[in-house]
This record gives sequence, C-alpha cells and structure tokens, in this order.
Amino acid sequence: MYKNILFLQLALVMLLGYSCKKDENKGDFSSSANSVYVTFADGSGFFNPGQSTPYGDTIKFVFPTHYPAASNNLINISAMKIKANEPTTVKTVAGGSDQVDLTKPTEIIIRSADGSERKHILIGEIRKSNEAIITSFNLPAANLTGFLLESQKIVGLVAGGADITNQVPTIAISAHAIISPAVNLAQDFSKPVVYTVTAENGKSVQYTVKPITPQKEASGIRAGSMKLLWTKSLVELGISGTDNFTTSIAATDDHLVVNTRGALNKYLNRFTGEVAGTMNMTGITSVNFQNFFATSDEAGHILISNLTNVVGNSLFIYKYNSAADQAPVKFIEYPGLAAGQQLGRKMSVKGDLSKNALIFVAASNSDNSILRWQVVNGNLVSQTPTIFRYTGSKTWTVMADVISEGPALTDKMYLSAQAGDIACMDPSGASLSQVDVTASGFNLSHSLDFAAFNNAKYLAVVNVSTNIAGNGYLYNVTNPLLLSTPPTSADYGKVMVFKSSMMTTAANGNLTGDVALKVSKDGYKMIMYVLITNGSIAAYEFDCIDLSSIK
Amino acid sequence: MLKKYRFLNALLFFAVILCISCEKGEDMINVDSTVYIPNSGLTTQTALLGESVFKLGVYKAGINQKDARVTVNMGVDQDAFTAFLATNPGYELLPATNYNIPSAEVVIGGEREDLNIRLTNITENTFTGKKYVLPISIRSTSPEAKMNAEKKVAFLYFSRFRNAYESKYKMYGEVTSDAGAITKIDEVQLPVSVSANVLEITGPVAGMKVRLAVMNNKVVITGAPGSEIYAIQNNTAKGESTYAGSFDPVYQAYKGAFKLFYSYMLNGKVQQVAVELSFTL
Repeated sequence: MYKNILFLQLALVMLLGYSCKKDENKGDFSSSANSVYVTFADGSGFFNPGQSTPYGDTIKFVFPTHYPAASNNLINISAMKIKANEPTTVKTVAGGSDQVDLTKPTEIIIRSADGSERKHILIGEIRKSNEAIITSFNLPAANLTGFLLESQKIVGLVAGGADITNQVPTIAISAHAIISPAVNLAQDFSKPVVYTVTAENGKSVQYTVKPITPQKEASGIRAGSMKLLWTKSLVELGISGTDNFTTSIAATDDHLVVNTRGALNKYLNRFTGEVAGTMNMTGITSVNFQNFFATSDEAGHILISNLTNVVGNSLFIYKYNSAADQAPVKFIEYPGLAAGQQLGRKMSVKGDLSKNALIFVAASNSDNSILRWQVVNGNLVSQTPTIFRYTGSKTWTVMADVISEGPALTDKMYLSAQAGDIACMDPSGASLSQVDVTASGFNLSHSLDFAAFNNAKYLAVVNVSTNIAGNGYLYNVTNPLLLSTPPTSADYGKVMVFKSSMMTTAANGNLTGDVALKVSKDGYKMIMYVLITNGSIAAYEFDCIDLSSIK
Repeated sequence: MLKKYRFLNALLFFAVILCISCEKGEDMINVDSTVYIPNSGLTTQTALLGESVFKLGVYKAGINQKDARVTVNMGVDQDAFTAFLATNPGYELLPATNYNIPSAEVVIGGEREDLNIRLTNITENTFTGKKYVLPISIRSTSPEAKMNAEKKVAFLYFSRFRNAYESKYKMYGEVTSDAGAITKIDEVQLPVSVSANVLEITGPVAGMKVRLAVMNNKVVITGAPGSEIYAIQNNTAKGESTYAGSFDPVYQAYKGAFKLFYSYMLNGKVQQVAVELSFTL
C-alpha cells in the first residue's frame, strides 16, 4: 500500500516538475534564405543572381566586364563556384565539382530549407556597365570639393571666396566610363559648365557644375564641418624656420600675408597655402625694427608696424590696400612711447579702414596700457591714440593683443596677454569674463582675432605650448560672458568649439605665434589660420552650410 | 520500515510543496499583455552578403492573461521614417530590392518571438556611400494586448555588409620575437569584413591591422593599408594558415576557426605569430 502511495507521489512530483519547464525555443528556420551565389574558384568575389528567391527555371548571374569593377582586369567566369548557405544546399545535376562554367548553361539542383528540391538552369552574362555617374568633384587649386546632387545631375560649388574662374578639376566617374570635355582642361566654374559622362555601354548623362547658394545653419559653424584645408612649414614656403622673425599673419580676401621681420613679406593663396607673391615693403623697411608685425581689417587692408622700444623713436604703421599694393602709405607715426614700454609687438584692427575701424596696440611692460586709434569714414581721427587700461586681475609684461567686436567705441573688446588674461572686457577696459588659462591647457597666449560668422561670434587665440610646439583655440563668444565656462562644465564644448592639433617647431625662443580669422564674402565659410614661429602655418576651414538644403 | 516510508513521505510532501511554490502567488496577479520591441530606436546593423534572415525580437510583458498568445502585426513604417528624417538627415530607406518580410504577423506565445526580415541581394557595394535604414514598427496587436508606444518602432540602420566569416572570435596564441621571447595572446576579436572573403583583425602591435583572405580553406595574410611598414605575411615555415567551418543558420555566419601563422617586422626584427581564432558568442 505504502509502495503504491509512494509511486503515485513520485509520479505527481515528476508531473509537477515537468510542468515547471518553460517552452523551449526550437528555432524557426522556415524563412531561411534559399539563395545561391557564386564566387571565383579561389573563394574570392561574391555575386548574387539577378533575381531574388524564389527563383524561376533560369537563374541568371550578370557580371561586370572587369573584376574588381574599377580595375582593368577582364573577368573570367569559366571557372566559378556555386554556393548556398546552410540549410540550403546546391549541386550540379552532373555531380562532381561545385565549379561551373558560367559561359554555358548548367543544370543545378537547389535543396531548400524546407527540404524541397528543384532544378534550375544556371547561366552567366558579362554585361557592360550602364553606370555614368560623377562620384567626386574637386578643384585642387582652390582646395574646394563639390557637392554631388545626383538626383538633379548637378555638382554644386560653394566657393567661400575662392577664385574658381580658371580651374582644372579632378573628377572621378564610374568605372570604365568616359567624360567630356576633358578633365585636364581649365574651366570657368563661376558659370555653369556641362560635362557629359558616357557609360561603358554608351549611355550618356549630362552633369552641370555650377555655383550654388544653399541655406545656412541657424547660427554659427556647422557641427562636423571642420576641415584642415592646408598646412605648410615655413621652410616649404621658403622662409627661415629658425630665425624667430616670422611672427605674424594677416588674411585678406584672397591671400594670407606672412610677416617676416627684415624680409620682403610673402603672401600665399589663402585657400591652398601656395606662395602667390612678395609684398612691396617700401617705407616700413626704412624704420627701426622694420615690419615687426602685420594684421588686416575685414576689407583686406593690411597694416604693418615696426617695434619701438626707445623713447623718442616712433611707432610706424603702414597701410596696404591689398597684399599686392605697390604703394603702401604711412598711416600712423606715433612718437609717444613711455619709458620702459614697447610698442608694435602686437596689433589688431577691427572694421574697414576705408570706412570705420579701430586699431589697437597693447603696450608691453605698461601696466596693461592699450592704445586705440579710431578711423571714421576712412580718415584717421588723430595720430594720437586714446590710451586706456585693462583693469583685470593679471598684468601682462611681454606683449598682448586686443581687438573689439566692431568699429564702435562702445563695442566689447577681447584681450590675449603674455603673461596675463584671455578675457572679454567692456569699452572701459573692465574685465567681463576670462578663460581659465591653466585649466584650459594654455601655456601662454598673446595673439587673437575676432570674427562674426553666421549670426555668431568667434574668438581665436594662440597657445604657445612649449618652445617647440603650439596650437590654436576657437571660442564661440556669441555670449561673451560664457568665456569663463570652465573645462569641467558640460557646456564647455559649446564655448570652446575647436582646438587644433599641436604644431611642432624648431626652437621658438621668443615663444611667438599668431592667429587670424577670415570669413568669406558669401558668408558660407570661415578659416582659422594658426602660425607658430619657426614651425608652420595651418588653415582650418569651417562652414555653416545647411546640408539638408542641398540634398 | 514504516519509519522509513514516513520519512520518504515527508520528503516527497516537501518536494511537492516546493514544486507548487514555483508559481506561488502569481495566480493572484493580473498584468495586461504589452508588446514592444526591445531594440527600438536607431540601432546599427550589418547585412550578410547575398540573402539572409534578420531576426527582430518582439517581446510580450504581462501575467495571467486568459489567452497567452498575442498576435502582432508588424511592417515597414513610412510615416515613422519621414518623422525620423526630420531629425536624422542623410538617411535613405533601404531599397525594396534589398529586403522582404515573408510574414508580417508574429504570434508571441511566450515572452519573445522574432519578426523574420529577409535581406536580399546584398553586395559589397550595396551600402557604399549610403545610409540605409529600415523602419519597422508594430502596426497592431490582437485586442487582448496593448502596445508600448515608446518602443514600437525600430530603425535598423544597415551601415555595411558583412561576409559569412565575420563574427566574434576568441583568439589564443603567441608571438615569438627574434630573440625567442614569447608573448601570449588571449583576447576577443571582432573582425570587420573588407570583402566577400577578406576580414580585418587587429594585430599584436597597437594600431596594426591584419587582413585575412580566405581562399577556400587556405588563408592569405597581409597587412591592411596603413600597416605596410610591418611587412605582414604568411609564415609557411611554421605552418599553413587555414580556415575550417560551416554556415550556421542560427547565427547567420560561418561557425569555425582560423589557424594563423604569420610574421611581421618590428624595429627591424622578425616577430612570428601563431594564433587560433575560434568562433565564440
């Protein structure tokens, strides 16, 4: 009796135990792939049939004339392997090898995942490509890449100030297609230029290359738009990389002036970094510490100063209407150097010297003195500057650079000082906000530039990291008070928007360098130039193109 | 004897109680069935060359519903894609020639079931210069179930193709320097497909990339672009580099192993590598 009860209880336990088990997923392969594919005999290559499963009686593979398609290797399909992925299998009716000659019909059997089998005829066709597409378009001499608007058969160019009137393009097209006119012919791309691309099979497609004016982002630079446009060592430019004399740069619409003390300044194509010419240095070369520093206004005028460090010697500032100006004029002669100070190590100008502008020279060893000249309607108001002080917490010694947001005396200003602050100040010189230079990775900074770009404001400053390296920082100062945002803040990346990689130099004994910002006339692009003395110059391009508007 | 049966009886009684307790209390709870896609939102996927089955999991939450089976209707959601594009410009809908959904209805009996999406006609060039996305949403459910509106759409972004050899591998082996010093290798590799028969793995030196070209069962080993300075090549003196494996429908990939023998140059000295990469989960 007890045995029976025990047996019943055991059965009950087993039943309950089994009932606790969950359904096991046995897997559902009813929708498994039933396709076949072919490869070359060595396993390389991969070709799908022209049609998807379920296949009809004939399965056709279409091959390009060359493999790889862009190569000049003619394809050979006489020894291909026919394959399928488990659980589907494939074999030739004739049996034996899975190698097939696809130049001839071959009978195969496909066994599908559900176990069914079906015969098919396998055949290959080598077909000339009908692809006639421009896959990339560049103007190397303008450092410009075209936007491919394939649906409209348009290649759009946003020149951003670059001269595109006489350019030889680099155009990539579909493999084995041809293009006319020949790509090695220079064209004026400021007007529409039509190219005809003809596919391997003779099909022709016309593309029009032309300037376009896409919409802009709501504010500031487009995230991810930064492009290292070019970088050149001073030696590549034919400038000494060891004499410490190349200390400033000035950007105009077309050029970047490289100021080398005591030498004829070279100016570069600012879009490519190629040397475009040599400046006429008449006048400035006849004064003490000739062409010590150069800067430019928004309209492309260039100012070049000397250095004065002896009381009685004047600060001279010469004005050029362009880098190629053969008749520079003495614009300022200021004899008022105070004892112990120096003038001319740094200088900035904001506005348009043919209209309204402000010129700033921060005096060295001056208890933070800043000299400011005003230009109204193209005329210098006075040879004698207004002198005011920066009243921030730190005092610079060696040098400093000051610039305003605009040409009005009421505009806010920015300061970069060695050793001192990187700060925004009000029109009286009182500090409004300051970069935490140590926490931000600065060793020393003494050069800056400011630009308004696409409804935002940007401040570029140089960092001379060591005597053999330096880089540039770009801040969004649309709200200048945010310049104080610490690097630990989650919002820091919204303020410090770009930091260039380190540029190495030969021994930069004076720890000098410079930065310049230039916004293109069409407002689409802004380039930040960074010079580290005895090293190199780099150009970083940013744009504000709303890419969604040109798709 | 009687004592022994009593003891066994007591033991069995407790066992029965324990078994029953595996459902203890749950019969008192009633939670509506809610279906959702765990991997909703934007996810990055790869697509096997040729034709394959991509399984998108659909889950059902809920306890003690009268009908445990819930039928879910799923499909491509063009409206969701339009809304997605507004904040994710640059994506395109995966062309219809590259997928089909054999059955839009998914019956969930347990906690999870899959929607089978057949990816078709995938080639080495399908994703070149493209950002294809396939928006799949839960369109409707059987009346007894609800839908989690927050997790009802999956945007499957197919960033690139993969070949059948690409899967996770356990790599074990060693590097022998020219001086005979041995460095053990014991790591997990996640190769990336370069072409139908070529994988790229990381090498023993930081930044080194090694390419494995499977030529039937042989493997040709070379340096990837950027790793030319290492002069990576097969080391047949130590052994033939091979691959052995077969396609597994569950993992939609070859389940197999590489045996690799290759050498590379480092600081002018020859280093010899002998490793085995085995499929792992």
